[in-house]
Amino acid sequence: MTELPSSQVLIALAENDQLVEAMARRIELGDPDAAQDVVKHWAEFHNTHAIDLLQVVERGQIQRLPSHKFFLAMSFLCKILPELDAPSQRMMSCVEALVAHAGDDLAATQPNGALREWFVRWPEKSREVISASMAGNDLASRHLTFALEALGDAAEARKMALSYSDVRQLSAITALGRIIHVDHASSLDTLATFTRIMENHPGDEVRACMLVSTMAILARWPQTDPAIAAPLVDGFLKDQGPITLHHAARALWVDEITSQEDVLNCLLKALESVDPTHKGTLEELDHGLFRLMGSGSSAASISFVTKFFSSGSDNLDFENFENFTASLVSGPTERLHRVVVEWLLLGNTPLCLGLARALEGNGMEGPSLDVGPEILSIPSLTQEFLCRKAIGWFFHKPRTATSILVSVLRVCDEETAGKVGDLLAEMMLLNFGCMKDYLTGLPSDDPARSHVDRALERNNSYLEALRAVPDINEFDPSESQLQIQQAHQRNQMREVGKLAMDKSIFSKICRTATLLYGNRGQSFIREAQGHLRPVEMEMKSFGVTFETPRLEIIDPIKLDYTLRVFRSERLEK
Amino acid sequence: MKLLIRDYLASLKERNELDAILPDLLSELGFTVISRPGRGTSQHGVDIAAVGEDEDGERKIFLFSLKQGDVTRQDWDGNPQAIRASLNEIRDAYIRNRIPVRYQTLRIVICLAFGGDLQEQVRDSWGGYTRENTTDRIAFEEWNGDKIAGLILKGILREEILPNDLRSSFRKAVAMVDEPDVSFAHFLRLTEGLHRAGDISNKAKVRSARQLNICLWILFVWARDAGNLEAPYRASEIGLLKMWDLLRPGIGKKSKDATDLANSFIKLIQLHLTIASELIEKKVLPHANVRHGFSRAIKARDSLDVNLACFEVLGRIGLTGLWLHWLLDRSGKKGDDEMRQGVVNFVRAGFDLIQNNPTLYSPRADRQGTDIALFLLLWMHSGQGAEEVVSWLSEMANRITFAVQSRGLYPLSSADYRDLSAHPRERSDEYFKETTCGSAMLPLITAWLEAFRQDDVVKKISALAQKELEHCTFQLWMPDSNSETELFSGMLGHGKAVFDLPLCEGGRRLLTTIAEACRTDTDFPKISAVKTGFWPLVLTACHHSRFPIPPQFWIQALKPPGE
Repeated sequence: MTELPSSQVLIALAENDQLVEAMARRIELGDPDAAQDVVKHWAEFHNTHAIDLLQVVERGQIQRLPSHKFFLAMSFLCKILPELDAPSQRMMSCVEALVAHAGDDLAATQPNGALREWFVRWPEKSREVISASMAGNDLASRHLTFALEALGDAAEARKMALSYSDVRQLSAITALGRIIHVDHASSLDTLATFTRIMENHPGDEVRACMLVSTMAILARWPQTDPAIAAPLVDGFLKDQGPITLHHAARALWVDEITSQEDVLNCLLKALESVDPTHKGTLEELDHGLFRLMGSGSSAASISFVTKFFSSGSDNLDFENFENFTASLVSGPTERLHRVVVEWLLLGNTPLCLGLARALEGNGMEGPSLDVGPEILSIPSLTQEFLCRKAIGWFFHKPRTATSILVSVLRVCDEETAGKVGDLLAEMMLLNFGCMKDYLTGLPSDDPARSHVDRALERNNSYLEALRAVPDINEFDPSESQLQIQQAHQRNQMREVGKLAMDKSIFSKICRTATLLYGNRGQSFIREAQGHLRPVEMEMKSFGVTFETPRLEIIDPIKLDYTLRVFRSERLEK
Repeated sequence: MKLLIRDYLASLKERNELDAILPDLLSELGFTVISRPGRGTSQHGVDIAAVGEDEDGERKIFLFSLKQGDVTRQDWDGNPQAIRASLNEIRDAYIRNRIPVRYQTLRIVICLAFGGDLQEQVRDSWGGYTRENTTDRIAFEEWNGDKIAGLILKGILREEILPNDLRSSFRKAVAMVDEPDVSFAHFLRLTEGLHRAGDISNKAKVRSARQLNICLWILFVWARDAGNLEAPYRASEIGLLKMWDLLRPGIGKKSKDATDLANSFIKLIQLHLTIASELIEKKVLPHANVRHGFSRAIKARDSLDVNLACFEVLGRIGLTGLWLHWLLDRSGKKGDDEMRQGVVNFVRAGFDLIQNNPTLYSPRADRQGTDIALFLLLWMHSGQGAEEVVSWLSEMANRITFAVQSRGLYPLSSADYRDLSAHPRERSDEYFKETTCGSAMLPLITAWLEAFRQDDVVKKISALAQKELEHCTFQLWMPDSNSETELFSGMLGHGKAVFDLPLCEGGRRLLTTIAEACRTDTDFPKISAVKTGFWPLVLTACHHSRFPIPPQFWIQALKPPGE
């Protein structure tokens, strides 16, 4: 059992301004129970005026600690704060100072939590703060939310929300989202209060607060009538500002949102107008859509993304939706195939480009998409158009493009098969030798087999004719030209390496060691008693290979032109 | 050195390849060649006849019967072209009827000349034949590869007239035929050395031309065996130009040296065409109709190399075809269907090449305008229909427009391989302007398209010139008064650029401006090669040094009637 520091020790630490250092070290206590005892022990000393713990903040001692020590000490202090008997003004000032000093750190609001607990522990202090706020005390108004939340008095909060139009209103509305209403009727009263506030056409911040609180209430009371909830949310989102939209995106995270379909639709409709330059909101939106994909609302999520990217805005980038995309690609294949077909036919650049980037599998060849006949029961012209789009967008993932062409060949009529066969032979087989293996590997009873065989035959004739042409050495690049090329390629690879390193998660969490010799590495870790423990590593090579499309060498401009045409052409309505 | 020459002689594939060097060799040894190889006339077994001193110091007449490679049993007897039959014909017909009167008193040496060896199984037959037929007047000699190589080293390439440093360059050029850049660099040194040596006197000029001819032959034969004709092709181009530079001061003179020099020069032209034909007709054209055939045949991993090679070969097809056309014109045999067909075949093969190697629709460097112009000129002289040429030029214009608009692989003003290889290095406007600062190719293409009345495409290029390429200086190049001395030496700082061509004002204004520039130019007609009718030399110089083809070559054909 660890022995707790005596009062003399604590006093000595306080007198020597070493209290905060001790806090940062957590008094050398690893055992959580022991730490809890220390908290009580220290609070007792404070409450009996043996030491004044708030002084460590008021005198700036804790703020002077180096960053990592500051957070350790603050965390320790936050455990003690709820237990301290102190005037509310002092307590709030200290909390505010700590939050301000913590800045943008994720742990910055930890003192607010401590304050909330303090209000719960000392309810009379809450009332004191509410009264002070009503009297116009700024500090009290800034901490009103925690006081109201601690008291759990929804009626008082509703009253304040209606009575004021300044920070106190925001605090009261926020508190209403956090207070656990005693019953459903009380929560409906709160929603009614919000409806009344809306009558005064509040600003963006107030609407955002009400939206957040409403979503919290709906999460707790999912049985709330959509006829009440949806118009209210719709109201918040009409002529909304960026803050409301940001919180609307965040609202998608709420699991229970799927049971409020009308509310979800309101949110998604409003979110269609998100400014693509508001990256933070897009990030929230991406997370929200990801949640929807996994919670039975994938159709709504996909439909939203489709509409969002069809708006024609130049700033849209599918990379902002990586969580959504990951969910789409790793989800049910039938769903993915439908989306692929729908988006290709739509021909929207960011959507198709996003898909092309997201589809992974079989190394650089891309995954095989065996699209089912029910998805491909579209007019012949559309089938051919789909194939051109697939080549345009998935050309550099040849297996993906080829598999879509084969899928079409399985279901299309003879005339279309001729055209798709041309594309198969002229674009895919001619460019990628690896596609020959893929196509020859199709089962003999595959409905596309005969068309595929014709394309393979064409390709064979082409290759045989090529093989019959001997090398003509006279026009080979010279040694010096090859050296220039190699230098150029080395530079390109170096750039690619740098980019990869910048994007690699490993480079952020690991230290780089460069071994100049050998294929194994050994280093030593010094253990507690100075003992050296060897750590060995086997070196492995890694790399990727990809096939350069033949036309990239033989006719790059035409290839570029063709792919651009395939990507940009549209179906006539 | 002897081994090198010996191997060259053994590798000669055609009998006429020995024909090509033996007269020069004999001349340099002090012989007077009185009969040269000819085609279509009966020689009664004698390929070359020469008068000169034998090793015993007596003046004799030497009658040569030539044969390529080794002499085998099949070569010796059994058919009308066999050696024995030829030797009999010499004795029975030539000696009795064809020896000029003034040499009839001389004793005769019948020489069996060949590049290789007399094989053992023939040696007895040869020995028996010569013993039986040797008389007081008639003797027989075996001139095998070893003997001819010795004579070459003793004669035309002897150290006194081909110093060690030039011999060294020559040896290195031959040794490095697999590395054309290196081989050519050594051969260029040799050519320059011979040019300097020839500048002393008319006799020296003739000797230099002959030396160059034989050195080039040796290089060619070695390269042919090595399967890489690039070095001799380039060497023959520079050889032609350098020798013209030697020859041109003597143009119009009637002296023996001037005639000999002219003859040597014609041999060089023939050798150049032999090399070019070996390369193009045997290696490229048979595969021109294979889709992507030529593009694949180059061991290139980069589209730039395919592109450069394709345009290079198209330019060579154009140039070689134009030389053939020139020979046809010069011979005055308007009805020579075979040669005329040869020119047409070159044009046809060129179009096949374009169709099957689509990179030929997408020039990557402005300098490729020279290759384009050479093929256009060949087409112009061939009398073939315009459909394919119009389609080629239109597609090329469309692709250039696309490449410029998409800032992709548009043609660069720079000819530096480093720039071409790194392109597009960046997407900035500054880079675009820098890399498209000037063009001689676009005016060329536009002028031709205008002549073909391709209004839509011309409008497209004009719009491109106006919007995207406003900064670009559109120009053409013409030789000026300095070009006469520098054009044939491979120098670059001569001639004049006709610039600020009004490309954005439409094709007609462009054509009119070019026509006016040509009309008012007085320097072009004064260029020796133009004045004397050896105009393909100007094209060869432009091809070799990558100068644009002067518009004087094509403007007449493009000018609207009445202008």
